[in-house]
Amino acid sequence: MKQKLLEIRDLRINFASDEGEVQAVKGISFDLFRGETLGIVGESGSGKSVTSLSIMRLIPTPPGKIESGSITYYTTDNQPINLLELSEKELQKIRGNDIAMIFQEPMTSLNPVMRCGHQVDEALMLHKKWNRAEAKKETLSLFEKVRLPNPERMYNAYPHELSGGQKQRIMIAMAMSCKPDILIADEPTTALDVTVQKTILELMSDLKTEIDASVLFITHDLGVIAEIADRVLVMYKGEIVEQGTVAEIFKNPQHPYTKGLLACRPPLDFRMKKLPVVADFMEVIKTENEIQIIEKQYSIHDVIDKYKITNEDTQARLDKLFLQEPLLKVENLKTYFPIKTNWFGKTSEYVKAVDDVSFDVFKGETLGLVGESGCGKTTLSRTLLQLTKTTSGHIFYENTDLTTLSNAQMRPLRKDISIIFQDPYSSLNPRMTIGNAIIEPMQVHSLYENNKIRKERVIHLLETVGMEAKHYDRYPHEFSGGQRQRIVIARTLSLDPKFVICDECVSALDVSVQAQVLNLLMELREKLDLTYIFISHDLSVVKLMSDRMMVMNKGKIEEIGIADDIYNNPQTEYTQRLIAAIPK
Amino acid sequence: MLRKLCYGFLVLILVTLTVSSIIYLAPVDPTRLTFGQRSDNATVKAKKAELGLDQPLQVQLAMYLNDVSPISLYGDYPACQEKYDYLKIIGLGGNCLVLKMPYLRESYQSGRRVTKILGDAIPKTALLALVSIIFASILGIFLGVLASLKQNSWVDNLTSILSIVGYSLPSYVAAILFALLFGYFLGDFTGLNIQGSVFELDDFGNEIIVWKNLILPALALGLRPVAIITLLTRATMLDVLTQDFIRTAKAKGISNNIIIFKHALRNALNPVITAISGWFASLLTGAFFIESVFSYKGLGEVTVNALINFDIPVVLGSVLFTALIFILVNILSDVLYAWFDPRVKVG
Repeated sequence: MKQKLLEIRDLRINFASDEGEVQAVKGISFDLFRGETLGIVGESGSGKSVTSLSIMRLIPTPPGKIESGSITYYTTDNQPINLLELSEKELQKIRGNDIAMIFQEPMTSLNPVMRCGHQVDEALMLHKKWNRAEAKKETLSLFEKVRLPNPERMYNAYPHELSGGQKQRIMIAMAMSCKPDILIADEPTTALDVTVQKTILELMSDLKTEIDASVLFITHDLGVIAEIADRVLVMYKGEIVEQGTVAEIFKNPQHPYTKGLLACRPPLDFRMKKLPVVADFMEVIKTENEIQIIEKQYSIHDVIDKYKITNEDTQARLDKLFLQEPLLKVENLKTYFPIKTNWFGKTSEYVKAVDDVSFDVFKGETLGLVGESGCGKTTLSRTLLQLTKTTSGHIFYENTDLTTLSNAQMRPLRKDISIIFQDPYSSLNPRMTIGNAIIEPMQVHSLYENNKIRKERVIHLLETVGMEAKHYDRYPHEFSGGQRQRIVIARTLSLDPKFVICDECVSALDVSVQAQVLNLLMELREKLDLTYIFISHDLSVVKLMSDRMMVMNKGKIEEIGIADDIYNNPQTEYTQRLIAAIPK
Repeated sequence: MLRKLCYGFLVLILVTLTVSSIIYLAPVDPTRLTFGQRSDNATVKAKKAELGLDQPLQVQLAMYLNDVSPISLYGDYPACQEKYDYLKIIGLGGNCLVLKMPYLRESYQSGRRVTKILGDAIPKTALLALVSIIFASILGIFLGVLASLKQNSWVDNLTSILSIVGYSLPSYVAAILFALLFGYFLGDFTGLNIQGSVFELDDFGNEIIVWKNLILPALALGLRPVAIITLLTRATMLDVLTQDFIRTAKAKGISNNIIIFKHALRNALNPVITAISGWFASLLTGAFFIESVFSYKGLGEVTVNALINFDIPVVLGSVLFTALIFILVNILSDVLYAWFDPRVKVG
């Protein structure tokens, strides 16, 4: 029998909110054994992060409160310690030393005014009682272990000087520094590109073996779990609905929610007209104080077969698309940003964000654009909209060269060309009701005669994106991330655009929610005859959405072609790396 | 950095030109002030010519700038050399290009050099400003941190209310209240004077330093900065304490005190520095009311007197000094920003 490290029994956590107490975790129990990696999977709000924070007693209190239960940690000599009964002083000895944690947001989880090296030293000096020189030596060797380039320089660098992946490596070094028994990783790769995610996951499993720790790995993505975990817990609405080994869960899922999570990842070997979602497997009925789940009797295979598109259909669609005139023609587009100016204000050095890019987009087509952060895809989309000025080159939209237009001449065209941004949390004004947010663009462009007609139109749009008329007067904070992205889509549609740029519009969302939003976008494309440029760092998502795919690297186009061809037969090493990074 | 200095220099010239234009255009005749009512026209005219007041405005402005500038153009003869105490660089006909200390002219009233008058007053004011801003920073940051840690408790509420009262209280009211309470009613107990400077003359005419005369003006002067610094520190600390990196620090097992002072406070200080440097600059340039109430003979008192008597050179000198201080303190606070927050680059 393996040694038990952590034993959680009947843990209940409540959060106080405006509408009274909300049960975030409803009496869960599980064990963590020495040397294993236990994955906890679930969507936002399922209680998985709250559970992980409660082990370290890091839940913000108030509003959070651990109502009942026990969290027992077994020390190396098998002494049980109930973490819920410890004083703050005693907890501080365990935090970082026996149990360490890696957080989701490497961008904000490091202190911006402290050198990275000192932030790691700090834990070593505190728990091991080392002096600064000893701690520095250990930190440098840790930086080497987490494969940071040039450890000495990283030691003296401030967090803002590093990339997201490098910051997460610092966080891992920090968490591993005191060789903890338990490592809790709360969505450590969600904020990172797929390629970076892959290297971080490899690093974590290597280091775990080296220091013989157990890992509690929290994520919303079953694909990631398959890469790293031995056992899985599936959490849904504060309860554990299913648990087992990774092989069991993937081969023979029992709970409909697990089936939904497994099925909703974009497929790689075939095309689909829509993705399966959790709702294909179960129905949730909310009564006064009870949530009832009714299972539908479909297997994953049934649902996938229902939505599959044959190769012939795909070919027919492509043939039809390419017969048309291009809607957008981009010729030798360059966008440079000045980084250094000399004494006379003349630019002496540039960042070439978009460097000599040419391509066409056909009417009704979806052109996928894929690449890592910093490859120039967002600058390209902003340039197409003329939100960033071009350095040289031409953009023809229906034979009008956008680069020659003044701001005033561009304005009527803004109705036709629209954009959906990445972050649904910050792209809605928190002080504006969603109805007003959607009606505003119509007023600006004087669409429709009066506000009464406009309001009817807004309600129609809300219904189109799967929201309800009663949501008109509510504020953004009342909605979840997926709902907000629907609202943003409704706002984009309010002007009846013909051409929509989706800039990483699902990367901030859970996989299960991502599937719903992608389905909505595909449905709207057929219904409203839209043309998309779909941008993402995740090649699997781009492949699902697009007819043709364009791979960008360092401001240049690496390759462009039919999406399936690029996936099945990538020409450049860069594309091959992007494909290899997709969790299988 | 260099560009900032250039901008600062430009501001200095513009301030000089604007203020001197306004004053020269005012309908007052300084020569009359110098001689009083019973002066004959010939003397007045001679004095006017000597001061250059009979010249058109632009000539007067040019002459003043020439006097102020460290590199300037003067007549090349001994009397002139003695007056300006310059170092000749290169001769140009009857004139020469020279290097000198800025010459701020002489007071119409006392005939003393303005540089000397300001030089006497500035150390007193600087001492007062320094003491009160240090007092205000320490107390304000301490109270702000305390209030943020005990958010919504009675400590927090009391601090906030007192801060708002302290900020709303005009400085002269505070000064009079302090003088009355601690200097008069409790005077026997505290041993403090109602009025007086730090540098006083004793009964034998020797200059002595009376440190206790600094206490009440410094307290009265520091009251509003304390209030502002407290409120600002509280607000930014509350913001910083909810950030992710504070949670990271907790997860490392760091104790609360270290988290507050090492991790949170340094992140919270940036807006506080802006407030402190702004206040420090305005305190340095003289606290007119406070200095009057306590009859503390600093820059504020000198300036007010000069204004009342239309002593133009003194007023101009004082304004110039004020502008200089603001520019220097601004540059200093930029440097401090970069020191506290590495994301900010100097220049």
